[in-house]
Amino acid sequence: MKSHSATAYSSFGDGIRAAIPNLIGYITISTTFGVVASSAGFSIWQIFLYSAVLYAGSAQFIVVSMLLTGASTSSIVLMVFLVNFRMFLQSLSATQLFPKQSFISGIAMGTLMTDESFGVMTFAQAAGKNPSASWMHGLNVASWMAWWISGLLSSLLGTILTNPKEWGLDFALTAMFAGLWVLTAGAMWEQDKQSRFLLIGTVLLTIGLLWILLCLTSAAVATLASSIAASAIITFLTKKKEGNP
Amino acid sequence: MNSSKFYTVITLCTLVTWIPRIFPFIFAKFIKFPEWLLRFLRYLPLAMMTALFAENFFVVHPNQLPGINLLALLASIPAVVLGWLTRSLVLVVVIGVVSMGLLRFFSNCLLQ
Repeated sequence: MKSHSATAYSSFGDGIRAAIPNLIGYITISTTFGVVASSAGFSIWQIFLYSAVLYAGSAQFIVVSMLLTGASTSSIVLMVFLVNFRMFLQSLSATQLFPKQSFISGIAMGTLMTDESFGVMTFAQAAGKNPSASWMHGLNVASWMAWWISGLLSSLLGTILTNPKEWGLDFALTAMFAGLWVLTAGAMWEQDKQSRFLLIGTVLLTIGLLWILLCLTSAAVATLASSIAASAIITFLTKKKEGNP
Repeated sequence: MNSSKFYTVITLCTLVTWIPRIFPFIFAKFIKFPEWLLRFLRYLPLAMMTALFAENFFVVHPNQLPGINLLALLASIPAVVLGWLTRSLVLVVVIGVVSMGLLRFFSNCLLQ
């Protein structure tokens, strides 16, 4: 099948164009972040630091919520490290796809790559398009700009809402975690058709452990410990299962 | 927001996010993960999101098993169901906030 306006995968500009379908997603999520964080009392400068420098989707919401509940610095940092560690695996597979790029280009790619841009790239790769490193930089930079600019603009909106509780906005953080949970669980549910019971097991085990741990320790530690313990137990159980002939 | 704590947290969080992101581009040749660690890292995000979400349903009492925050639980049900059907993060937030607003309104009416 040939098209006159065949999509190209070589230049920086092609990469920017490839980012467009994802921009709506970035803008809406980052707008939600701006409104939630500014109504929680963070300044516009602080929201800029969250969106442009930390640049970490769900981790931004986690930091806002943990700072509000007075969690310790070490538990916040450990939580963010664990939540974002999947980026390590994405970067690892990106190095296999762009083996010849320079040191600086590699650092830039690792710094700005997101779940979504990684997804677009692996899709292009799977479709045999052989995308270039410049294309990937275009995709990454467009995504990053859309993210922090919309976060910044929407934080102005949040400052107008002076009584967040009246608007039900204090519940927006919980609802945000509900949404992130649905997206994570939904994606794994589609991917992992053979072992869906393990996903259900992970969820129930985490909730059970959390319930018990909450009466022994702080909420931040209970959240961390229950999720690490639940994944470790599931990992151990699947190992035993695969060991059988 | 307490300034010095905010800046410490944001600096450290940026570092622990950024270093794993760029590390493979510097040391890719030397990294080989055991299979069990990859499997652990596959389930960890789901477990963490579950814990972060479920934590909002528990009300902690000292020296007792936690109770249930019924309002938060009820407000989340329509949000999660719609989110599952549409896979839209924004819709979950909007429906969640609106349901919570309605539930508070009706529970206030009942109490009066």
